[in-house]
Amino acid sequence: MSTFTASARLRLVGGTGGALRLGLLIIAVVLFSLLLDNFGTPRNAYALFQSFALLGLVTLGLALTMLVGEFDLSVGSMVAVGGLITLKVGGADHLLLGMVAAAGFAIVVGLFNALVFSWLRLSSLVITVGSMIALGGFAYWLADGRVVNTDNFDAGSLLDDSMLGIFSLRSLLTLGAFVAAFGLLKYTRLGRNILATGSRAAAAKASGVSTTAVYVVVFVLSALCASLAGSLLSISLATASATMGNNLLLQAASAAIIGGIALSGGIGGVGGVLVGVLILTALNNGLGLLGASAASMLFANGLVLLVVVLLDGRAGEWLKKLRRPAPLKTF
Amino acid sequence: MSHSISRTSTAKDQRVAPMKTPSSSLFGRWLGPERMQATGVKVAIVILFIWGWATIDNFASSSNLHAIMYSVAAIGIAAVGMAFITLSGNLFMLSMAATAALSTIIFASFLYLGLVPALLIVAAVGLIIGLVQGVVVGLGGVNPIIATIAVASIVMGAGALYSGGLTIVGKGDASWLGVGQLGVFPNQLLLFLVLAIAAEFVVQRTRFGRELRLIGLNRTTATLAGVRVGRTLVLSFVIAGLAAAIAGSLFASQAAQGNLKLAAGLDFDAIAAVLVGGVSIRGGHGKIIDAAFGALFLAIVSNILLVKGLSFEIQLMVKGIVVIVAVILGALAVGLRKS
Amino acid sequence: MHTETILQVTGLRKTYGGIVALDNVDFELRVGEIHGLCGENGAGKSTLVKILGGLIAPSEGEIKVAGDVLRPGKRTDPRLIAIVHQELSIIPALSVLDNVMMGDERVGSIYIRSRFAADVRRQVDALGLEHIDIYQPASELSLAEQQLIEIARCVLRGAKVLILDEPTATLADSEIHRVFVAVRWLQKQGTTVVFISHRLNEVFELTDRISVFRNGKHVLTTETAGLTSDELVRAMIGRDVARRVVDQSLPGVSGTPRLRLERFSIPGKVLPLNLSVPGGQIIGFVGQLGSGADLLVEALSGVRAHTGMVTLDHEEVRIRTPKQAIEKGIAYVPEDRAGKGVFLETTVAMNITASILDRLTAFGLLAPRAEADAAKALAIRFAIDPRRLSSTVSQLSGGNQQKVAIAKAAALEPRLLILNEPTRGVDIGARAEIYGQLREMAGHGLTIIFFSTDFEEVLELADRVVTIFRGQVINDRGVADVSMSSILNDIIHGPEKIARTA
Repeated sequence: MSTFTASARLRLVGGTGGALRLGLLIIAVVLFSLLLDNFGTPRNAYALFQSFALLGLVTLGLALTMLVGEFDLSVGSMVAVGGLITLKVGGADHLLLGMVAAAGFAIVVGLFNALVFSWLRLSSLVITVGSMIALGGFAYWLADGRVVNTDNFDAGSLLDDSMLGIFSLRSLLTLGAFVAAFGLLKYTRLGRNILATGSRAAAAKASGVSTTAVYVVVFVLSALCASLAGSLLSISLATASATMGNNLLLQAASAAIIGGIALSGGIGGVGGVLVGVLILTALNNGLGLLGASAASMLFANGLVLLVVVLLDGRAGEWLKKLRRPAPLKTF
Repeated sequence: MSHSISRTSTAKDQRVAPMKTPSSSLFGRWLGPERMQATGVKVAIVILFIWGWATIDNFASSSNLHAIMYSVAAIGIAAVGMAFITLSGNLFMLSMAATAALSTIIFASFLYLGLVPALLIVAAVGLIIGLVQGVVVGLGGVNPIIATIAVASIVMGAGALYSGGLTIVGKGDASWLGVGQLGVFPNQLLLFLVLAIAAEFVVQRTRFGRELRLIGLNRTTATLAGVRVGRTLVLSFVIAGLAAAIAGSLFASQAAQGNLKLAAGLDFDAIAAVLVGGVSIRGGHGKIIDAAFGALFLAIVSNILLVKGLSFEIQLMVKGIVVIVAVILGALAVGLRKS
Repeated sequence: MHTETILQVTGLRKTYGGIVALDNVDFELRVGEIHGLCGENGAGKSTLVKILGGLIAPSEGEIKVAGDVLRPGKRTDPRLIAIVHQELSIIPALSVLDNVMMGDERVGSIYIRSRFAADVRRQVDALGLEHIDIYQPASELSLAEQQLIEIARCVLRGAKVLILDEPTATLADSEIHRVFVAVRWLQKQGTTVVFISHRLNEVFELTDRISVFRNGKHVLTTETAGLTSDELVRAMIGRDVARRVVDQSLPGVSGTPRLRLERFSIPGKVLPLNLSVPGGQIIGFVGQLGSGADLLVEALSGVRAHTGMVTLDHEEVRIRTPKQAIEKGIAYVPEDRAGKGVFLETTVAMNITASILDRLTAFGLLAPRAEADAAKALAIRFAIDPRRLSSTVSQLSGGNQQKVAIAKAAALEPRLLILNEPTRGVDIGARAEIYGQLREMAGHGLTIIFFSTDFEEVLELADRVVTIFRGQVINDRGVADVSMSSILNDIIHGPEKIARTA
């Protein structure tokens, strides 16, 4: 519709960064498909999307907190707690109730995180470190030294039966969450406020945005996403353990940063996060098929995050220099 | 000499801030908002100890006291290392547990060379891991939390690859470190005390320590004043990595084996100790020795919980809550100081 | 232009403790006029603006807009009075459209941007920005364009009175022209525009009436057409200032130059200049915001990128970072004391010794006796009570804090001391002390370069005054040969003088 079609089209993809990301994803998929016979199969695609279901939801929530310039360190622990509450409360017959209970708990945690850090004017990193530790302990306490099981395998099947060959209800739910998040950011005032707060909170406040409300929404959503992901995972596996969320924080942070979410806030979009998550799940999936051990994958994930964040720092500075208004010319 | 322009003072000249009287030194040193928390922790330690002694059987027994001393040692060393990071304004190093875990494996693997050589090798590894993070955060400007999370995974992955997930039994004698004592005090505790005091000395009395604190107070002012920011930050991470490595050696020597799980929770413990002890999140405020006292406080708390039969999980939760409470109190104290 | 009043201020008074920021101000604005507001820093303009915006409440007095009395201290309805601040409230990551619609009540919980596209497009075009895409992020716009977006935002909400606070300070010529066009367009729509600016030539060009504030009082309002530049300046400053009596010869002029700049420039901000400064001389750089004068002192301190050759005592030096500058004997006292100049939350002693730790260190260890001696000596030298060495800097007055900042820099025993706004926010007593200390150091051979927006300070402190306008050096003369009005003329008119006669 606009007369500036070239730049508008580029913006649709997410700018040069977005194009690079898509390119990276395509290269990764193609590369792995060529190297491994069983990468490109529907069965593997299904496995990939099952991983995506978990990581995607967690990353989405984390990305929302990053968009406001903050960071929720407690997402990993929240996944474990969410799963454990679901199975402990839900038993076998009331899993839905279990999920609701987990969600309720998540709302409380999210509220706590948001209100305490904004009230104390601290970085959210500091408060969520505490939450991460406390939730971690809570998870261990809930699990009581073992794994929690449920006999309800039907619910798991419901979630995991393949749909359209490569998806499942779980992965579609995560995709749905992405769509919802996209709608939130693009078509609601709240979404605009989220980006405004992340970009320049003082200016947003001066224009009447309640940054506290924004923080609350974002941290509650983050906790909810993590909790939901944990609930669904535990139902799907029919067990929950205190270590379910291990490494998720690491992977979610990587996926978000690869997905173009800037640590400083205000920059990035849901589409980018989607691609970032897909890149990471493809990477891990491919590594797994190549025979890499869990240890190597952990190593690789850490390395990826380090490289990505180094580039994000330097490259981000460079990109910002390009995006900044043309230098003032007095002559 | 020149005469100054005579003019009446205008509104803009009269903006003089009222001079507040400086707090008298004794009050300021112990009870002023600046040191309130650190003093509070020390008082709490005494109170807790007395309470435990009075209400719990065998609390003050030799075996229980030994348990406390052993639990303080490793965590205390890690906390002291962590305090360097926090003081410089870089929040936390979330790779301590991983570094310590890897260290247990390396320690066990090289123990056959002797205790001291094994320790030296472990120290070198810790140093390098710290150096990498120092460069990335101190020179590369990367967010310290993210960077250390990333390195934690790399280190953990490397450790798992090296050990195959198995326990490595050390072929050598680590008993001096593991169970050795000087009089009634475990060598581990003495090592912790020596390191804590040395670290405190470094921060209080060396140029590096002074620059560390100045950077934590205001990085921009420090840069403009010519403080050696890059070098100091890198060194702070090296020290922290070293501390984590030593802590890992302590774990390994006590268990007489190397296992990645031995150091689980060390990050949390060290962070909790630093924050509870009164080292401020914002950087620049607090002393290294505060972290040591924080570790002691938490060790006593853990011990009491343990003796009372409360599980490890509850202890973990308590630690998390303690961190949150300490942070909140700390922030309130800042608010108090500013008003 | 109509003559009916849109804004009426009566008996406005604002005091902070014992300080009177606004003293019994009566003020009125007419519908559809462009009204210039002039006055020195601290004259009361910004206080007035803050009260009009409802950000602070007056101690006394009443404000009426379009007949309605404003509730004191309550945020003014942006449909009545809108303010475009010097520091933009643009949100960089959001699009132009988002920025224009920010704060608009018509944006509901569901925000379909295309609904507002037409209105925004129209508004933005009207202000001369047809070439920008309303969906592009605001960060991609130039400063002037961002300024205009701010204005568009206020206008779209239908402000009756629009206050522009230094809108052209950081803009280039062509961009200023755009702002003018926009302002005149606004006038045609019936909006009243208040144009606050130090750029008197622009005030003369654009406005219908001019008001002057001085020392919290409203001293003058008159038709622009009948006013001369001199009259305006006199109203702003208020008196004929007695010139400081100086020796005719510039100190330190004989002998080799301490500092030499050749083809020194800051790309995009300051044109190449040559400068030669002897030891013991005090030079003041003066220029308006955006002239680049302040950037010059930053560049010399290693804080800002620059090109050209810098020679210090015959040695060519590279000063790309503060550390390099310090190593070469260049010490810097920045303008933002609290943020950059001192370590607020620690002791005076720790502050003063911060730059000279290397001298107080042996084998890596600080020597406490040496440190204490050095701190004490510096404190005495800069008239800081040695008993306050262990006080926290945040507890000191502004003047004492600045003394700490200067002492910290002077501790280096530099060859060149650079100060950015040496006594901003410092009371008169401390000012005199600081000037005395600086002059004493200069007497011992230290070269001092400072930037200041306070002309009296420049005349008081400098031996030599360099005036700068839009990146260009206009005049470089001994202080005996300049006056307050000559400085003003240089920095507001630049190379060409605009003659205005009654």
